[in-house]
Amino acid sequence: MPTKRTETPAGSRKSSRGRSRPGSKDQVVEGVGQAPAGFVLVNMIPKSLSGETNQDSEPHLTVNAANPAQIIGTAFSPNPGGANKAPVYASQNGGATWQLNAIVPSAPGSSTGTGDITTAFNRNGSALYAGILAAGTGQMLFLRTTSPFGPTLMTTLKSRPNADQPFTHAMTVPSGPDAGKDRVYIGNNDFAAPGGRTETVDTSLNAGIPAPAFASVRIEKRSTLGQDGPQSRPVAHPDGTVYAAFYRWRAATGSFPGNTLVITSADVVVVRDDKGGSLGFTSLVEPPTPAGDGLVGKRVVQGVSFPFMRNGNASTGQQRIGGTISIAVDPKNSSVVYLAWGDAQPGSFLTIHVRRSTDRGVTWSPQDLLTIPNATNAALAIAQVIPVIDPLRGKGRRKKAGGAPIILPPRTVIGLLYQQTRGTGAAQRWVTHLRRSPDGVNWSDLILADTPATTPVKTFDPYLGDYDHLVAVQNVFFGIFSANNTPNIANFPNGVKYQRNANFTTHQLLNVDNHTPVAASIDPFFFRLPI
Amino acid sequence: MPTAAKAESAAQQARFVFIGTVQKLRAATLDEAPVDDRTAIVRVDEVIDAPEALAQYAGHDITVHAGGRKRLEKGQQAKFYANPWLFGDSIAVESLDHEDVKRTAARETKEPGDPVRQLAERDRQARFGAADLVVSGRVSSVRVPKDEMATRSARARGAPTPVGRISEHEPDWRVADIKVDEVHKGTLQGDTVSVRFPDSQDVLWHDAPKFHPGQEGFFMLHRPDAGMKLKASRAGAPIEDSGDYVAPQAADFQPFSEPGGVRHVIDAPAETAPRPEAGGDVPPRKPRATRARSARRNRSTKRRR
Repeated sequence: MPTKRTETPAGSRKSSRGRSRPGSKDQVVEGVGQAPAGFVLVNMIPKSLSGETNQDSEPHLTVNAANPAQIIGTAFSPNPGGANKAPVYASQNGGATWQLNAIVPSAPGSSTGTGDITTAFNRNGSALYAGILAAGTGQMLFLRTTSPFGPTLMTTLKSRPNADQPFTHAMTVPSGPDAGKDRVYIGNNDFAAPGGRTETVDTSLNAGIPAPAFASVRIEKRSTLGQDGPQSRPVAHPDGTVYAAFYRWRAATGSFPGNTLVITSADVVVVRDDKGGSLGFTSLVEPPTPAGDGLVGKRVVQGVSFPFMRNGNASTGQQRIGGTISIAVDPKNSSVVYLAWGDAQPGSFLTIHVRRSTDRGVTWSPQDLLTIPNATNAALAIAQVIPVIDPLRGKGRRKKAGGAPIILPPRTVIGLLYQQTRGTGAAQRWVTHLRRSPDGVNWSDLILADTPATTPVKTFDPYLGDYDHLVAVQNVFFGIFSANNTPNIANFPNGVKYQRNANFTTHQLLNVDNHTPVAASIDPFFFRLPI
Repeated sequence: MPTAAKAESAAQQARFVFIGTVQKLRAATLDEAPVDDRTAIVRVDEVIDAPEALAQYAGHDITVHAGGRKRLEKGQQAKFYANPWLFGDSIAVESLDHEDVKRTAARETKEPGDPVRQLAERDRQARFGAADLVVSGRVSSVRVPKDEMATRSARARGAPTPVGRISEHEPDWRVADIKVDEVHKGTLQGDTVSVRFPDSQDVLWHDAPKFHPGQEGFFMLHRPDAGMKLKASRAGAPIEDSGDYVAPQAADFQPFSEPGGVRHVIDAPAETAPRPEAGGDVPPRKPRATRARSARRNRSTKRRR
């Protein structure tokens, strides 16, 4: 059983209980808990859209590692004007405030702007890449812009039909003969892949050039039931190591249209490429039988089962369930990699498991590092504390001969974002957690949001999204999730800042006139937390 | 392009049409909006066409970036044909065109209406214009396409692996048969037409109209174009039982109980422009077409074409 300790970080402040300042300019409301120092939680809907009631679900974000003040977020958010460009959420001050900037190709009148959308900055922030399912056609598009904060429409680099859930990750080669080249990895479930081995990572080894080539790398090397799951999650390390994780679907029963489909047997597979994606993700091979099957890709667990729902229902907090996968690589050691996945367990519609490999995915911790029942939208990231000079070095008893300053060893902190249901019936809640651990054994738990699961009633599936996202830049976690936006401080125990007009005393959203009531809906929330 | 034609084009493309007064040149209401010679702070005096999110902007200062060659002048009152671009503490819009309000007023003397409804009217009429066939009638039945039935049967028989692809974005196709009372645009052989529609509530499909037996109204139907075929193919759509038409957007169906909308187009004399008065209520009514009238109208429509 994992250890759970109370969140008591150094420098934490005691907030006044439930203190709110309705009508104040910045709508900052402190929570009842002990928010860690530097913690910021922001409702991303800008003030000028105070009247919106969209279901802004399935959020994702990327941070410019060279300038973390620049952040781009996405969600199922329409262009409020209904024009043929969908918006991204843009911040140029570290997430303190957000604007909607319409730069994504869309279809006029689309109520969600795009289908699935994920974005990624390259390492120096000179380009923003995106993978989307376009509104109107459902085509998968790969996009790029060099000015994500300007008005120019993103450029379409590639377009093709018959694929699902593009998941974008980018890396810029830091040194060597390919230094400066953008490598872009867009995981997707490609129904056009031969033999039902649909799991794919579209890879460009030089995405910054005017017309970059993308290779559809088929990362599934085993037989399937005719296809794999929709989640294909790539992650890259600056040393050229790239991992990807996915569900290999092996058997199913029930009916998707009938909302009874269950994937009765699936393997959670990790693949690796040691040369930035140029080796076709074939670097990780199982040993021959009986220890393995001798094929490419490590089956971390085999034979898991979970529902693959057409529609969310009351038992799942309106959220459709269909598995969850996330993978993160240690920024200081590419051999260390963490994996989270979901499966059904007795009494739990989806249970998140976290495990670790310290040998580049060859072997994995035999037991869970963390087990979370009735939860989904797992998102892992690993932050690192920048090495610092010990301020006490050279003083008093700790002074050593020579007095040379000693640099403290770098350390990492693993972060896990997820959303978990609590309670049943009308009292059911979605609780969004950020768990952190310095060692994978001891985990803190910070509640980001604790919101009703029954209201508002969903307007489409997915209710909260088939994913949320967490990234780390140096020692700071940046995350995004979607939740009920009722302005009630009890729902945000560590405080929150609203840009849109809201009255935290009456728990009422207000329109741009700061008077007319607005119904509660699903909004994206951004958070930032240094370690 | 002549000025009038250009204004008409801008009017068709613009989602936010308003009368505003230029307050300050080379300035913006948002820090994030880049400022140049074509940027100005404009006070919204009156909202004419707007989506819900912008309907309450009368009296607010916003940022306008003027497109085209026309310049803005301080104190100028103009009718702006714009599309929203940036939303923050305030909003910035890209103006496709603007007209001096005195010239505009000389052409239009209409009373202001509900801007949201006005835009919805425009959308409905645009869908009427884009449709291959517009009929009024009643959904007589809804069925699962034959191909889909075969897939389901295979699954029900316990086929060892699922037949066809499984995706959370599965459209879950249905075919609705519509008993037609009247043909308002296009031609139709007989008095029934079949329409394929997605029954899915997934994000990619929830917007499309969902039909059910007994549903009555106006149907703006489109032949499946390359895009729709592509989408249908992507989603494993049935081939042999695909329906004659599709109705992919919410504005492609208008119930009889709803006033205005396509009624304005249908009731307008042929020689008049189909742009109606804002808020001009037409009492909801069901077309009183009989089958004979339907056939007669149908024949006359064919003759016109």
